Amino acid sequence: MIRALIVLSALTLVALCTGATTITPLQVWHLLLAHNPQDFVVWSHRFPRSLTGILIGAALGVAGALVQGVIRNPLASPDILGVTQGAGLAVAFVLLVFPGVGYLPFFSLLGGAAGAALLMAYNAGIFSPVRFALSGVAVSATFAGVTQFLLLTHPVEVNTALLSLTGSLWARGWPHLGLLLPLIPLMMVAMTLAKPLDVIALGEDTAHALGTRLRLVRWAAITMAVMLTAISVSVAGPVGFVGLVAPHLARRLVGGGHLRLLPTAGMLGAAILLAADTLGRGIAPPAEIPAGVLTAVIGAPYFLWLLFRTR
Amino acid sequence: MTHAIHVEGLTLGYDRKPVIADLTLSIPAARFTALIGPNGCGKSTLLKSVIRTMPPRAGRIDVMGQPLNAMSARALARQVSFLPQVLPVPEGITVRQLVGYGRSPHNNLWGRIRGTDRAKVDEVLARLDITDLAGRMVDGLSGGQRQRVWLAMVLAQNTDIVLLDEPTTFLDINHQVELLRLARDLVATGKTVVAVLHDLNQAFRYADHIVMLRNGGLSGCGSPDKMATTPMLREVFSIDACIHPDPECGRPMVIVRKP
Ligand SMILES: Nc1ncnc2c1ncn2[C@@H]1O[C@H](COP(=O)(O)OP(=O)(O)O)[C@@H](O)[C@H]1O
Ligand SMILES: [Mg+2]
Repeated sequence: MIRALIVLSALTLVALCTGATTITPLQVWHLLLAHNPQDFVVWSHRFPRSLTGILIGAALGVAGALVQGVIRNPLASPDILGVTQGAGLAVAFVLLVFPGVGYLPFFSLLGGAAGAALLMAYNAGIFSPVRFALSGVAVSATFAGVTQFLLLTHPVEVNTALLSLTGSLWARGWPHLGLLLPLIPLMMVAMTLAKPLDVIALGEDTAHALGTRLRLVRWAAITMAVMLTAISVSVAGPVGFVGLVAPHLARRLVGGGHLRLLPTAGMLGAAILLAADTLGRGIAPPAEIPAGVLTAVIGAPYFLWLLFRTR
Repeated sequence: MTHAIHVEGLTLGYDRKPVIADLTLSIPAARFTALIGPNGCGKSTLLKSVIRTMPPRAGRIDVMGQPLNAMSARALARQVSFLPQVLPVPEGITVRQLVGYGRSPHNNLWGRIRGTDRAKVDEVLARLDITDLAGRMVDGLSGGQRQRVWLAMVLAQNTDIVLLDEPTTFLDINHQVELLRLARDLVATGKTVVAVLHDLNQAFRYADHIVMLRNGGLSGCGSPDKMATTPMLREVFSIDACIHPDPECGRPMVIVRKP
């Protein structure tokens, strides 16, 4: 857990230094202390953007750990549940068909919940990890396809929409941080599920025998994961695979106890997204590669490997 | 005799056909009850209904004289513990962590292991002679070790009623006898033990009370002497066997006849 925190702090520093103009850590420190709204590099651009990345990455990591804990399926994550793309589709729909309506986090939540509900209903009562993952990928691909269709048929509004739907942190700043603030209490509330999730890992019978209210815990964990993911998607668009990879890495680092697993998954999720964003900014400045593209490039092969191993 | 568990008119099942139909049965308190019957006759299903994994279709279940559906999850977990027949392999937790989870009905929201909890965990680890496994990962244990570690978790829960589903399956003969003696020790301290056993001789020798199930329901229940009869074994297991007193302590011993 301490190691994950150190990695995250180091990455934050690198993120603040890297970009179209590279600056030294010492300069960063002075600029941060200055709180100068005229400072267009660190204080009003890279710093809030990094904070946005940290919050979103952490939310996705925690959401992934919640879903994996409650569904007891190594392939489960908010992306595979259809939450990420469902939320993305809802955001695209509102932006393109009803531009100017606003309330994006709300619609994102609706879309994410609909995606999760669809998948849970389809897999109700069946416990096959592979079937679950495959149907989730199919549902997600359908949502993504419809999103693409909307983008192609509404060329005029596409610019703003693309900004929200590419899974990117580009131009995210202080106003977006306000939208993300609910993530912090949500992640703290998620910690109360640590003990029931530990017990659920021992199987349904033991969870019952140890006094866990399984239905309530399942419901609470999925709801929280949907909310965390949907709020993230409403700001950055669908960022794939962070919610899948971060909990896996965290489990290797700190083991299966959720009291340490949940915060570690959060920190690693934050680190992954921040690293992807920094890399995307640093490869060929001033052009940028969206963070979501980079997480997918690393995450998709990892998912395939997991799928292969689960057989 | 008071009853630890009493079921009345109980019907249980997974799909349309019930596994157990209209079962009425009492489990005596502070006794060792052996639950025996052929594979697939519903022994596990019956135990699962007591911890509420398996909701009844009809009938009622009382635990210590209280109706089960009036008890909170936590209250039930402080009275009844359960060792499943199939043990999942939780990833990335140590034996000590696993055994500590047995304390969860007694500790707070965060599952913090306090002094009394730690003392109980140490006690059961020592009792089962697995203190040296405490730091090992559960996913790296052998089948028999895993079964004893899970049993430690169940004992750490420290409940008045202990349900064990095939607790001896993966154990060598030495540890099987250890387990049966442990069950006797628990009963001597006033606890109720119900165990699914497949070795009839072990059941008749160590248990106070025998419950025989066959497909669909109860064949009979009573003391080992009453239940260990040639017609009973023919009815339940379709075997032809004779019963002799065992030379060590005179309890019924089953010998299968030549075909
Ligand atoms: N999860 C399940 N879904 C459907 N049927 C089941 C399930 N578990 C057990 N059964 C069926 O219920 C019956 C009783 O099973 P069980 O209680 O496990 O038997 P026992 O423990 O006596 O061997 C069997 O016929 C079995 O096939
Ligand atoms: Mg069974």
